[in-house]
Amino acid sequence: MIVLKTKDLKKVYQQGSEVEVHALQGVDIEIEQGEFVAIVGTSGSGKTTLLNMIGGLDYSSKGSVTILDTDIETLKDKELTIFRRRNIGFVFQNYNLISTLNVYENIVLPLQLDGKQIDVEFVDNIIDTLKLKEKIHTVPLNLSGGQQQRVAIARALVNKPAIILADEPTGNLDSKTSMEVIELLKMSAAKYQQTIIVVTHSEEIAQLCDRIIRIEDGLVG
Amino acid sequence: MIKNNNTSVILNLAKNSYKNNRSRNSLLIGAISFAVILLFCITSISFAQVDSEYLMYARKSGSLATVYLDRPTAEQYKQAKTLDCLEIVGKESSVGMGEKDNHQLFIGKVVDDVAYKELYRPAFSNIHGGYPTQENEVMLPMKVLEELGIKPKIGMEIELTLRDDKDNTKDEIFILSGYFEEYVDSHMSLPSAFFSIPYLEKSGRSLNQSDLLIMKQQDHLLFEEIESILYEKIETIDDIQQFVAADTLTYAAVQTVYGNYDTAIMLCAIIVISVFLLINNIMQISLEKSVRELGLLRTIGTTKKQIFLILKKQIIRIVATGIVLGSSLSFMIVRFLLPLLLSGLTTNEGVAIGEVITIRWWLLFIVIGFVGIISMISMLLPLKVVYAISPKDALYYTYGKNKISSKEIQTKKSISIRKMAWRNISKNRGRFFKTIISLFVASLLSIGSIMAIQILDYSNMYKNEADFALTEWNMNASNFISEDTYLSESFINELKKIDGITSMDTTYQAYVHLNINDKVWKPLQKAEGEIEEERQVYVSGLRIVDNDEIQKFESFIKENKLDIDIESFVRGETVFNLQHHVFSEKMEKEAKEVNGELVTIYNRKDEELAKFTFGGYLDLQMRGFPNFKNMSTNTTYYPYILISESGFEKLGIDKEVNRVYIFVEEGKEIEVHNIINEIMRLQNKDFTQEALPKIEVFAKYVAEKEAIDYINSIKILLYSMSFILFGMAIFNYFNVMHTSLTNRRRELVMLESIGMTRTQLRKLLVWEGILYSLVVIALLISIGSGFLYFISNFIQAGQAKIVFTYPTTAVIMLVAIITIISVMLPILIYRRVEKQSIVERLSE
Repeated sequence: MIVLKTKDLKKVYQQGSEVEVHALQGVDIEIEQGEFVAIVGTSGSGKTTLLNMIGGLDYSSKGSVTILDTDIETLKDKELTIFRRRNIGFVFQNYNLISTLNVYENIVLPLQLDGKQIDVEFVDNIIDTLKLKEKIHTVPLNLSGGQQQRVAIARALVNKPAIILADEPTGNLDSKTSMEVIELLKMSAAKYQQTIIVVTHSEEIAQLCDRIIRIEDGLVG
Repeated sequence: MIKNNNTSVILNLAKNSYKNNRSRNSLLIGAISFAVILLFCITSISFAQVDSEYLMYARKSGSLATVYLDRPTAEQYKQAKTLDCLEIVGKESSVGMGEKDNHQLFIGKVVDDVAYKELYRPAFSNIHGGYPTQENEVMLPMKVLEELGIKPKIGMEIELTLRDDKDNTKDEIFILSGYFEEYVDSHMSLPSAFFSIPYLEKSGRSLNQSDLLIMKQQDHLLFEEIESILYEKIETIDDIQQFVAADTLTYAAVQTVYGNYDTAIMLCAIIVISVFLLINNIMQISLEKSVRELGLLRTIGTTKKQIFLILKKQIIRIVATGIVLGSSLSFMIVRFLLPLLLSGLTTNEGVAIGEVITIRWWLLFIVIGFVGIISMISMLLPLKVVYAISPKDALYYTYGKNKISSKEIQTKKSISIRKMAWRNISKNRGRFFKTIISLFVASLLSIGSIMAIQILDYSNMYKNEADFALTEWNMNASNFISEDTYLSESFINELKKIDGITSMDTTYQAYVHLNINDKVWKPLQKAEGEIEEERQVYVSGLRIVDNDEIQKFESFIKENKLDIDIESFVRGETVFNLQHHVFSEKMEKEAKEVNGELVTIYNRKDEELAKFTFGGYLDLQMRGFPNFKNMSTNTTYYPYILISESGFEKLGIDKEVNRVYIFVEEGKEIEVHNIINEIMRLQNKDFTQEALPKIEVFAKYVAEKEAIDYINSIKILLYSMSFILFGMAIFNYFNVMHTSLTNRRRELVMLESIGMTRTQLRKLLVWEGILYSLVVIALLISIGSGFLYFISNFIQAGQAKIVFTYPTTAVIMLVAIITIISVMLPILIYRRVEKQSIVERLSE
């Protein structure tokens, strides 16, 4: 089943000005459910822009993004936010955890925003899988980078989204921790049947994925 | 060593930074200008208010003089001229009383140039011509000319009758050298008319041996202080020569407007602190951006000193622009706009506040200096932050970097938005307390100023007065006691029957005879000088202290550390004499020698009633002297006995009603007044024309109506000031909330990125606002009430009765507005950013 599809996706920054930037120049991709995909490109290639379009964090200049048969470009802001919350999990390079919440509260926050009953067994399972049990009362400020990233992954998983988008998830981590995080992502994908798209500039990390999409100058090779 | 040739780059970086922060700079320039305008206008208006009160007092008094010395010598005059504590020293001699048909018109005076120009002339208006210089010239007040039926023209001849101190009268022709408008209350004193020095010299006298030195002390010296200084510095010629002083008209004016100097200073401090908070809070807006900008410079090798220079150039430019703009606008407002706006607001003596408002350059410079300094200090805040942290931390500086005190939060539950809101505002303890304190202080200052203004509100001047007061003095100025009483029991019973009267109260008077030869009266006689030979008996009024007034008498004695046996007074064994500040310093000491002597009191038939121990002389002019309600007629240099209720009972005589206070249902004043008049008309029939006692009738509604313009003028000014302070408190609150939201953009966008809808986000922010407002409100109501009570007592210190009225309306309004801002602000801010994507906002 195709879980994500983009068609002729374009993004132009500062359109009409002298410094117009064509970040995406017509990107067509299709991703199946359960795939573990890496989007690889050099700095300024458009990989993060592509990820932002897919995740509904930014609006395209032209084209469409369809996730689970929903063209997200047609959704209003609130609908998009709720859609994103329920169907897309985000893992950022700088973790983006809420500093005033402990680990547990950070993980279940998307569920709470959705007004859903917490599936305690499922959440405990994620916590165990990501080896966060000892740290559930700890605030993010007192966690290491790797630990914070695992919390971010847990948060991304908790709503059982169709897709998890990870933007340079290992960017702020050392090589050993980076490998651990990618292994965790891969294991979670397998265990929870999720599609994972990782943006990275690292070939080494890309090689661990099922498929690599290369992007250069806003175009997919 | 490589030279550091970086002046031009510093200049360029400064210019660049200035350009990149246009909106912040505009806001700062606006705030600085506003601060200058606000401070200068408020202080100018305050000074003008005091000036107009001052002018009113001066006109009522007839001169600015507040210190007098009788029978001065030339040496004393010379000494007085050298003293710093005396601003003005003039000379005055009397040439007799002007009269027409045995009716007194004016007091004839000869004064020196200093006395005329600096003490008398400022109290007059519409002056035509000048001070007399020729022997036969005279300068008269308009009132006198009107009474004489003369239409004045400079140079015209006028015949005047003068009575000298030996009671001889003389008719003389004078040439009118000048005339003027004066405002002395003719019931209290006669107006002054001026004669020339040659005229005085014609009678063999000279101003070198003037009758009086008339002077003015420095404004900050109270009457007790100046008298004490003068007695110390200038030796008196005998025991009874006396320096008589009053508080300056400036002090009286400040007291009228602000209660006292301390309150005026307190109100000034309130405004100043409010301005400081305003500018400081605005600086918080761009703190994050400024620190990052400077942090970036640090990371690429800019030294702290270079950063300071970059910032300094910007600061000077912003402050200078703000000050120039503010000063120019202030000047225009105070010079042109305010006189126009305030020209219609006049006092009873025709002094318009708009008339007296003026540009005080020294005040403008102080305001500019103050605003400039606090602006510069506030604008150096980013530098303080950058100096305190590493370049890398500065580069990634976020507002109020979290320092969560606990490493763990012991909960394993999902968290509600309300709890998240509380954690958000309290996560950084330092920032939380700073914000709360800033909001609390601004709110408290504004409420405190409103309350202060309510206390000083002139429309309350009659608030506690009875609706009507009927007063009868049984003894006249010639010490004749009338046997007929107007305010009799039957009359009062008639009044009680009037429908609409809610309650009545009465005070009493009583009169006795005293033996002029009793030892206790010697000091009084010595102070008076010559006594009429016919006088053998003193006729004295009694001031009876009710039992419920004893406590305030005790407090007065304690505060002034008087050596008085209050117990003996209460038991009715001791009496005191109230004197009208007639003793010199030496006489006061001498008067103490008669303490403990016996004084005998007689009835009006000279039958002995009782003997008492004499407790001493008490000066009625002493600051804070209690206002005992029972009063009798009293004259200077005559005894006026202070006696307790127990003491009065020993005399076995009746006291007579001296005043009836009538309280009326609201809205029935005119009706009741008419009935009272009718009752009085019927009562009058019981008396012959000659025997008809003189009754003073006070009607509050009439007095209020007459004072309404005056009351309104002060009200408008004071309430405008409080409105501005209130507005500043609201603005401060708005600013703090807005700053918090603006500086947390990233944090809030990040919440959206993980799935928080805008509605949920708004709910979070509204809760944060509500929680802030709840904390501020709780502090206002608890600790704030304590402060308000303190401010209320502070302003009313020295008054007989301190009343604390909680400014309920102002508090409710402030609470309501704070709550509205807390709720509406997040909603309005988030409306603006609807069109931007998360990524666009993250990159801002």
